[in-house]
Amino acid sequence: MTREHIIVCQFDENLLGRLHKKRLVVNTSADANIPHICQFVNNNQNNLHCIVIHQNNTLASTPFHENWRGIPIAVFADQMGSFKEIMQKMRLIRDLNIRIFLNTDFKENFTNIHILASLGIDCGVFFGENNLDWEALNDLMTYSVYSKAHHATIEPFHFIINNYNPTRTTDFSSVYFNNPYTYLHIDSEENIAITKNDLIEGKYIASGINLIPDISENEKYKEALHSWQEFFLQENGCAFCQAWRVCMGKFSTSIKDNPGCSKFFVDMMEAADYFLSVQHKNKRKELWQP
Amino acid sequence: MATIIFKPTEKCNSNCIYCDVVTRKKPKTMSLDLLEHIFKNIDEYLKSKPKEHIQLIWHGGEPLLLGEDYFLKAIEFQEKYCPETKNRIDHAIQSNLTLLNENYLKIFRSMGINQIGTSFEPLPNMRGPGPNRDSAFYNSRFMKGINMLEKNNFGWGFIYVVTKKSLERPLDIFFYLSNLKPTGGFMLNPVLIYGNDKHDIAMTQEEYADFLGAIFPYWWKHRDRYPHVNPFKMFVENIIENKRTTGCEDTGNCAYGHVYLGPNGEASQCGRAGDWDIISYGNIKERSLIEIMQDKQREQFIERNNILLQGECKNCPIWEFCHGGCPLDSYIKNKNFMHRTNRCEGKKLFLEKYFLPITGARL
Amino acid sequence: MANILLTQQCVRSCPYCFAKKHMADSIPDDILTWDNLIYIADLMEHSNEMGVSLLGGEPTLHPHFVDFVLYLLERRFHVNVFTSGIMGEKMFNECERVLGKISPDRLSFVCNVNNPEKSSFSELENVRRFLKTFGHLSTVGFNIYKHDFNLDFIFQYVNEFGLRRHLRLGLAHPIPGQHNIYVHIDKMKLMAERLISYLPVFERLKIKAGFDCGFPLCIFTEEQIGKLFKHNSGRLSFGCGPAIDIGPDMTVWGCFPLSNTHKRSIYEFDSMNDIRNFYRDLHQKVRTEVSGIFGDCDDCIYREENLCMGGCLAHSYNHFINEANIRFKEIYK
Repeated sequence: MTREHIIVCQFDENLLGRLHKKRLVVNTSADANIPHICQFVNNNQNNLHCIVIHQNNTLASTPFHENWRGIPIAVFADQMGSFKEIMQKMRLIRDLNIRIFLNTDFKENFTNIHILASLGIDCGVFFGENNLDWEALNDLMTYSVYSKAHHATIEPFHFIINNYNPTRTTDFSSVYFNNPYTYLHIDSEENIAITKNDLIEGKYIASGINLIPDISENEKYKEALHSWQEFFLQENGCAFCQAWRVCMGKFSTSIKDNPGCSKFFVDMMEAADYFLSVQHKNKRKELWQP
Repeated sequence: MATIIFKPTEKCNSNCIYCDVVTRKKPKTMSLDLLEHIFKNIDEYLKSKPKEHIQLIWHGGEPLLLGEDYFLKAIEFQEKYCPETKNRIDHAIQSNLTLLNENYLKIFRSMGINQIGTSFEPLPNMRGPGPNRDSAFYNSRFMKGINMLEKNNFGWGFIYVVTKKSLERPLDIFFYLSNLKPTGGFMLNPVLIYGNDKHDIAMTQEEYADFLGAIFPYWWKHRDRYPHVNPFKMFVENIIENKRTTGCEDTGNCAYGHVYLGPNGEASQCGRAGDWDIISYGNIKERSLIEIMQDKQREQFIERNNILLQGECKNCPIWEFCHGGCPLDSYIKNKNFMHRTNRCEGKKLFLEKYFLPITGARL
Repeated sequence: MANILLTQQCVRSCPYCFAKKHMADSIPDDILTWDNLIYIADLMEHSNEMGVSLLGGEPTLHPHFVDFVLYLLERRFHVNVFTSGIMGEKMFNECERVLGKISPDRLSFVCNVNNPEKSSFSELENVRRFLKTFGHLSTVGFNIYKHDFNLDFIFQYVNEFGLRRHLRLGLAHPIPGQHNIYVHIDKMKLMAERLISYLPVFERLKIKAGFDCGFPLCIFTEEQIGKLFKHNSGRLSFGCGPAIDIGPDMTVWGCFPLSNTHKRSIYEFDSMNDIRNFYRDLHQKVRTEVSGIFGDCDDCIYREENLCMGGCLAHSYNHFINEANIRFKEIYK
């Protein structure tokens, strides 16, 4: 079965020039010329799925601009920075096709995301390297799912509740462009990897953009699709956890030092069930119309 | 529909702790001549019953040890000897999946099979090849098997055999199994021991009831997540939804519906009866399938219903979906079939202690 | 409109302070968190209440005061800040830079001032600096805590700093069982006379005087009522309704003098209306026990018709302090 993968790469005009008729996620830095990237991608018969801005400075220092309107953008920033500066740009940010991700390594970001979402900015957490504050994450999830107040979406909770099927697994790695069913990562040398980290660490599944159309026949790719089964070969691993079907072992390496994932994802599943029941309750029957 | 539990081989590549067929018997495999003979008999049987279907459940041992050619021969025999009746032959298969390959799946598809029954065990060294039961090896092959099934759009369901070793962590096991197959689609069956309990895996009825009871409150609360977990689903359907769905052991009408055919052509009531040599209907080499299906001994299963209804099971509120349980259970304890199952106590205990209080249902 | 306490800390120590008991019982470092502010904003928005008052203690002592105001404005709340106007240099500069240009229809201040004769030089300088910068957004508030009060300095402030031509007159109330300074019942008529004596000045300077809660109608003579009626274009209120206060710890209560009774958690309620109804019902029950601050309140036709609520409920509570628990049980909680 051939899958049309979305290709994730750096903004490299040379590489992009070699890609045709692909949907692309382009990684870049905050000082890049965003409209130029958008134009360049589309002029090469590719389709822009999203530009990912990796902001090494604070979110507040991001040069949001009127000419970003309509361009799908994700900003990944470690910290928010000055609230006042953000507020000055609030109207513009709200009008952009943008989702803002903040790092869980900084405790204040749980509140920052809470603030941004309550002001109508779609946002999310991205998981850092330090021990995660599961309680804070749970509070944010509770707000995201249960709050009746108007607010924007918060990832990955929004993805989970919208893609949740109680009788299936829900893999939220798509939120971070790391789901091999949807995304492939390539570098300038055309090395192909399943995740961004794999690409950085040189764990390639193939090399050459000409291999992308048939990647589903690639043995390493097939292995990656079933890598979740490794958990079922461990005697006491994540496969024994009731929340596995929405977590799929993403925090298995940190569970010893930072337990709490199970409780969080159990609550996440409850929230997803709740969301589903509300949707079901609100579903209107399609009545004939005169 | 008549069901043939068809065991063309007793050979198995796994040494499951709760199965003693491999060690107790000298495993045999059915010859192609006998296979050919059986298809002739099936044709004869179906012609004698123009509205009847036969479900041929390929069982083992591990049927995939027969090899691809064996199944191709079966197809050939079916084409050759059942040209008019072949559309009334429904194949099914039970396999441990560890030997599955794409060729088998093509063959199975051509036999009209689109789902495979299997079994699985998350606890280590319970299933697997060799004296120590290499479960790591077994499970990794099993996973490859289910990947192949899912890739080729085959359905699959499995049985989990509850043993004494399962009792320490019922919910963990339930989560594991349901994570492996999120919709459920599995059965939590108690281990059945005939003879010595060499591995100390037998449970009391109370232990089995408590095992189910440890899982049931969670399952009931979240049953939308795990719609196909038995025996819970079966109890819900029978007690709450008033539907009649039972496994073969509780139907009360297995008398003329089932037959076991072993590798030497030996016929018995069902797979379990064949494995344990409890009842013999002779050999298909000497008797036709029509004769075997009408064996006089089968009458005792009909008679059993009447005896139980007037005796041990009189006024039992779960009779309609239990029928005294599997007659073989009675045989193990009493050396005859005329008593109710010895699992009755566990079933009722589960219902009274867990199912009814939690669901609020009444019998 | 709900009052949100950003902090318990205050820069002043007013003798009449009827929040004193509440402040003393609270943890001084307890300040409203961002998450709690958002919760309150959500609850108010859900309740269709788009006006909010920020107070303290001194709200500008909250480290995120300016951010909170910006946040609430961004959520389309009208924000009213009760402040003494006394704040540090850094906070003042930040307020000036960020809030100074916000439209008066979105942001307003009530600057509670005390008689300058009783204030220190630096305090006065701070107040003057605040009024000079934020005068166009500010109304002056004054709490009457003795019958022979002085308002002259207020007229001076209004003229000098171009303040809004409105004076918010509060009445210091007793904290049940405590010893703060307030206008005693037998001095209220004198206080009313004093107030009426300022009416010609109010008229001349075109300043409207509005009553905060707890003024009883009958402390004014018929003639005085007539004058007040004319002065306020017929808009006279002698009410005492539950003013919903929300503390930094997310407790709620039905007005400051009653803050040590019937505190609840905000999480017990689904809407601001629920909170208001809870306290309204409770206060109504108290008023069935004691109609008002005067003995005559029981038979008063204006009280009966709710033209006057019979003064501040805190006076009524004082009745119950030293008596046996003979009334409905919620009173003593």
